[in-house]
Amino acid sequence: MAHSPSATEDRIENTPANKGKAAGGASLDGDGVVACTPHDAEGAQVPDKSDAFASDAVIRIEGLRKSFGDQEILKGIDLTVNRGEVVVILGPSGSGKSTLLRCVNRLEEATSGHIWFEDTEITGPATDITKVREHVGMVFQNFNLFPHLTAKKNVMLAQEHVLKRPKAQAERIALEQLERVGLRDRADYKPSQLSGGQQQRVAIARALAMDPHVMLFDEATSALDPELVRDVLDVMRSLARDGMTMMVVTHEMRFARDVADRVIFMDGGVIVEQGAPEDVFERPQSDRTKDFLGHIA
Amino acid sequence: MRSPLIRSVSRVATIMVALLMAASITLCMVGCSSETSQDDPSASSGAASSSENQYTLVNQGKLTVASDLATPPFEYADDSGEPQGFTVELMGMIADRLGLELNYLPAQKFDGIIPSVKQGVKTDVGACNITINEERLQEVDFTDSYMDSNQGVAAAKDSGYEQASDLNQAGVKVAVQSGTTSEEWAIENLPNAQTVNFDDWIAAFTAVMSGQCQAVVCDLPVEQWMVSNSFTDMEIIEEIPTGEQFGIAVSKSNPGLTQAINRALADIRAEGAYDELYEKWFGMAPSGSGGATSDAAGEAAASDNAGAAGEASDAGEESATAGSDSADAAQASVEAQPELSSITATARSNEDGGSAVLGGIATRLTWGCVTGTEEGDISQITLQLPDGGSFEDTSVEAVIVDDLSRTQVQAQASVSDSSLVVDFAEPIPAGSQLSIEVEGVLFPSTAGAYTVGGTYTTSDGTQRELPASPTISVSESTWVQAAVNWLDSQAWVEAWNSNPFLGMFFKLQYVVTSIASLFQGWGTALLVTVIGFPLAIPVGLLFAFLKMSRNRVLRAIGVTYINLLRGIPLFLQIYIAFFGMPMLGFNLPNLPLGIAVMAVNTSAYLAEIFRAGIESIPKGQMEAASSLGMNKIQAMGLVIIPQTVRRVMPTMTSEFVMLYKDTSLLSSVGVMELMMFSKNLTATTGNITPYICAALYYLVVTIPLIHVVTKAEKKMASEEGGRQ
Repeated sequence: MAHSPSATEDRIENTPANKGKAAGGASLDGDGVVACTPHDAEGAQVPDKSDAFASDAVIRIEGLRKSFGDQEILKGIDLTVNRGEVVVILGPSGSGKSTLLRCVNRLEEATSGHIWFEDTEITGPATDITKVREHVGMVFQNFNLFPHLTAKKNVMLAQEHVLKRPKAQAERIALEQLERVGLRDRADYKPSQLSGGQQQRVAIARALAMDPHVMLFDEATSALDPELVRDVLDVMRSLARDGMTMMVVTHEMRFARDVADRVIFMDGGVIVEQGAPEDVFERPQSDRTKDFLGHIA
Repeated sequence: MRSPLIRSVSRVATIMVALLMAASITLCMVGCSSETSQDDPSASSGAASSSENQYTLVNQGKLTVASDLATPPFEYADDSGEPQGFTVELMGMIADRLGLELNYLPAQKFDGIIPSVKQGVKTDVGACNITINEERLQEVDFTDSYMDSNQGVAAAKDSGYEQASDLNQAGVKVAVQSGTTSEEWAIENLPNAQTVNFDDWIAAFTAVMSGQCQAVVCDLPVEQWMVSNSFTDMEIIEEIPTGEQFGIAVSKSNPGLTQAINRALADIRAEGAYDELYEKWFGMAPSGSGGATSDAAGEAAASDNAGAAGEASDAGEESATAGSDSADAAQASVEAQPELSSITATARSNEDGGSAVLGGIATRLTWGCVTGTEEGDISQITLQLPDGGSFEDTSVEAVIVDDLSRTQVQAQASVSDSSLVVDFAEPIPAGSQLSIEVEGVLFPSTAGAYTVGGTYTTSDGTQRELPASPTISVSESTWVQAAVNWLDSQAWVEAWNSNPFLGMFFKLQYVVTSIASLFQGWGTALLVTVIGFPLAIPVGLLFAFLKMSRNRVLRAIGVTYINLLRGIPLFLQIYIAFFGMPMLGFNLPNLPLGIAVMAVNTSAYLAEIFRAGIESIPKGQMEAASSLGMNKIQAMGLVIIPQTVRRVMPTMTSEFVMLYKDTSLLSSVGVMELMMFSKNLTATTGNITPYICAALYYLVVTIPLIHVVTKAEKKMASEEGGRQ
């Protein structure tokens, strides 16, 4: 990956959102995007959380606006997600949190503003978005497993055709990832033979097999029956523990409180409040946050 | 996505029900109509009372006529669709005399006219330049002849073909109307050329003009009219004296009508109205019309063609002079030599449902020569068949041909071993063109190319050897023929066939010959389908993507292609391709062109099926594939298309069934597929059985496929339900 563009200088100051505990870590000098070592899911390099995410931003969003027709969904979002950080985005329906997530891997095109993934500006017109997406895992509310393929083949498909891994390697990694989500024994089942929770865990394994630098969870448990939610959340917890950088849109307050490094509360297309979970949950500053948490609780 | 499938399945079901109903209705009607005519004369028309004869009519007070309305100047539809032509006016006069209103049915297929007359449900009579011949006389009655005709061969003006025999070579295609005596003539006399059948004369002539065929064989008066009016870049290269006569076909169960029409015809001739009409349409009076009148008043027309033949042929020749500038060259010149020469010999095809001459089975031999100028008159000719051949019949017709006129010669024949001795009552003059037709000729039962030899005796008693004839290629008789012969000899078969319904729809001999002869056509239909369909898939996919493209130009291309092909009847597309492409210089052989047209048409329907299928895949699938870093092509190829294929498989199978059935449309442009073979058989036999057999051939493929579709659909429904 090439050296970051000249925009590096100003982009740091333009992260007013970054006022929480991660703020210090984010204030780098212009050359701050160091050590682009690909994150290895298998493991060795687990950043130490107490180190306050020492360094680099994986995702940086500046002045992001998004409209559908004449309805503006995102009204200027600034946000930085650092390596190893788990950011949980809360907010009422229609607040724009899913749209924000989908802008990050450009499933939705930003109307204006900039988004960087590591040192690539993904909102740039010349960006090869498929290259970026290889490293940005996404988990959908409706799982979106490929129904014509078995669980194992679901996990192998992109490895083979996007990462060009040999079949044997892809298969080995697929089985490892299925093991990781506790579904190795379901490797040869078709999605229609799996429960919703199992399907979602296969979907997580499918994303993990690509060695993502960041995982985006778009209401990953919202379509599940309550008794199936826990298994999925357990998988997500263990991912967080392993140091995966995650952006999680969810309604699971408990999960947010336990797992998040930072909680962001969105409403009406803007970030209303953000901070450490205990701050946001115990001492919400804005009335809207209070109102929302009150309703939820 | 299920509804079109269900629709198509239920459509098939509906069709089958309709077919059964039609069959039972026909059965009933056949029964009813014959009852009416015998037991209940009061049900017949009031007109019957004005005549001594009782006859039935399908519509009270009307004389209903079936015709193809595509044979100018005899019968055709004018710009407003009204029937016009010589025969139409003649039928009008006949109807007047019977006190009936003339009622022409809309244009009928030529091959369907005799069956429809025989059934007597839709029409009373058929008048469509139908030559009276033995096969047809087995199915229907004919009135006295109302027109004499010969055959003509026409080609494009610059074709380089100067006479009919130039066409008798491999690679030459000769267009004819299916089921006509022209087709029979072409098969017997141009065995090396390929005879290509068309629905009507206009299509056959168009095929020559477009370069798809090299020549057309057609009733001479029609050909003359076509060449001088519609197809002026063509010329008649040879006129063939066949001495045919056109009669009006009437059901055998309605002899009263035949007699009534014969009386009316005789009156019309006697009053001179016939001559006036003839002059109106052909520009001159028929010569020797007095003879024609007496001929018409005479007995069965079919057997008596000597006197009448000359008169109309003369007229035909004159009108050729008027209409075409090539009349001089038209008659192939046969120069008389000092010795007997110019031997010709052809045998008529005796293969049921085929075009081969089979050994060991009776056929008709047509043998001809030009007597020598220096040898004197000929009193006797002995025809000698090769070893193993024999003559079974002594009925011989000898004719002296002078240009288009045929003069019958009295001749006695006797069989002696494998030779036939023909004694002429009056010696054949020197320098005459002689033609002898012998029925009941058996060639050796082993296949081979045989010549007919023999001797001839001049009036001074000298006997000389006949020069060897051209070879006739004879095929071995088949098991089919053996089966038919066996069936012919069975009493129960006769009983079966004598039932009007069974005899018309399931005549056993025709079942056997149809199944054997349609097999090849079935192969062609399958070939068109199994090659055409896979070709249509990628093309359909391409246009599905074009139609879904964001680029406006590409989308416009896709939409235009799909809408044009889906918006134009397939039949018309076939005509445009078959007659238009050769004019642009793309002269593809029939079969590849047929496959191409069917594939292109199917691709448009598949494109819509694919597009709907692709759009039915949830958006999340594309998003999931994209989020994994797949590009558009990978996402389509690995995720979307495989799922689409499963979803559209049932609809695609229905489309496959449609394509298979639609191959029948290619029959009208000369592709030798299932329908073509059955049409041919029906046209020559006047029996519906070949159509029933063709239906069976279609069902053998379509029923299992429909079954598969239904199963796949059920399975899919349960899978879809199982998910979620």
